[in-house]
Amino acid sequence: MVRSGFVTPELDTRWFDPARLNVLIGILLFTAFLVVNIFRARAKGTLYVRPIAGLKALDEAIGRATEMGRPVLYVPGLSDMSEVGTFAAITICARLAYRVAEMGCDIDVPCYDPVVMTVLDGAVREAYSKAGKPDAFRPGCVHYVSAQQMAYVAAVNGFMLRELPAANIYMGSFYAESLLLAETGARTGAIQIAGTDKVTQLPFFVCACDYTLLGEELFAASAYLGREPIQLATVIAQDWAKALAAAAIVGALVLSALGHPALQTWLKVA
Amino acid sequence: MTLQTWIAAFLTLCVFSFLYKDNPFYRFAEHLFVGAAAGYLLAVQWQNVLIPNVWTPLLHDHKLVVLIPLALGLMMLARAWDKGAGIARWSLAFYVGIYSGVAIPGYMQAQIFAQLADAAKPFAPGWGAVNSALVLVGLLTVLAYFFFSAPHKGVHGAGARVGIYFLMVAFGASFGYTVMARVSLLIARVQFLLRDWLHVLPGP
Repeated sequence: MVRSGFVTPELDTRWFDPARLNVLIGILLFTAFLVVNIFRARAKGTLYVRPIAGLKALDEAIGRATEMGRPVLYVPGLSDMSEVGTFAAITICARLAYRVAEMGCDIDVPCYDPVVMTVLDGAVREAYSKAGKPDAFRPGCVHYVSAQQMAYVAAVNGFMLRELPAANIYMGSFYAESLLLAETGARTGAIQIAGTDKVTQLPFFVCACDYTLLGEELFAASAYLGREPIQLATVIAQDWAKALAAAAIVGALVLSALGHPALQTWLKVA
Repeated sequence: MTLQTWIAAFLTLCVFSFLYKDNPFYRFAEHLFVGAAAGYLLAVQWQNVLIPNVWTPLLHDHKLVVLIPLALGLMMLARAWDKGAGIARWSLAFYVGIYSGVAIPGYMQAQIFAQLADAAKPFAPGWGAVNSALVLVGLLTVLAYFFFSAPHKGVHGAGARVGIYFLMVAFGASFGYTVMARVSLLIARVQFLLRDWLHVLPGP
């Protein structure tokens, strides 16, 4: 449609786009993997997930903070609820808050996004209740700072230098601020554990933190900490999906080398 | 030299003073920055979100359907009161559900199938085939590293070890690239101080 020189795209009102059939099949397959593994996890009681080094250090970090009488700083990343990393950050924060409540130290969670703050506030409050210490929850420990990236960094860096948290935990989606935060944290001598799904920011955390959860380890972490069947099942389902993806790549390469590029073409999304 | 240049130079030096240690000048710049950002973002939300999406449709176009998202937004504020937490949860459930629904097919398409299609491209001819083979080996071994349902032992363990080397090489390259970009940002700030403020450097 052309009006006054501007092109307005036509609204696609179809319920189903046949060009994206492969995406639908992918989602259905992953859902099937998930359901099968949930049943497996319920039948067995648990499923094996390999240990992740950074997670073992979380208890050490909380213990250190308790001994030193200083808070644990939890930075949940700079994204909103549209990022999968934010969901993982919320789950890990809830587990961490439970351990913090059990051990009786303090936690501080500065937030970038107001909606994430609201969800985190509920998660931390609930963790304190689950730990049997609802009165120990300090209102305001989960607080909004700024939705402007560098203003947020300035405030959190200032907090690190003034309050000297014993442990800095960075989990979620991070961008250019990752090195600024982790470098300042390293200067204060705090034990630092990071995890992000943003591959471009991982090198900075690897350099400046004591432990780093690489990419998908962030998602596995929440399942590993909780040991709940449904969450463990999601990790195993992802492994099955990865195995299928690897097989699809090798299969497509071999078939196209033999003159049958059908699988390779099918993998392309319009 | 304008007053703005003096203010910008003063605030730049205030922030740089953080390199020594936390001090009142840094704190002043930090609080000013956070406060200014809050005020600016509030104005942006009012102008770009509330007026075009709520005020105008409701009061000028009389679209009552706008009351639904408005009510959901107001319910979110109920969290300010202890007893309102349950009310806010309805809005959050709606918000999280919508985002999950939008994100899952998008991720499957943009993150998984797009990468699968690229990885399954035929090997390049000539010496380019070595590059293609390296990419394939890197992809498969890094995938092996990110397998969580099996311990890193035997063939799988060896593959995962190769995968971690690929990851470290990629991280090193990314680190160097970004540090270069950060140094250029520092150069720009120093140029501002020496050229625009102190006039030690000649103009562009």
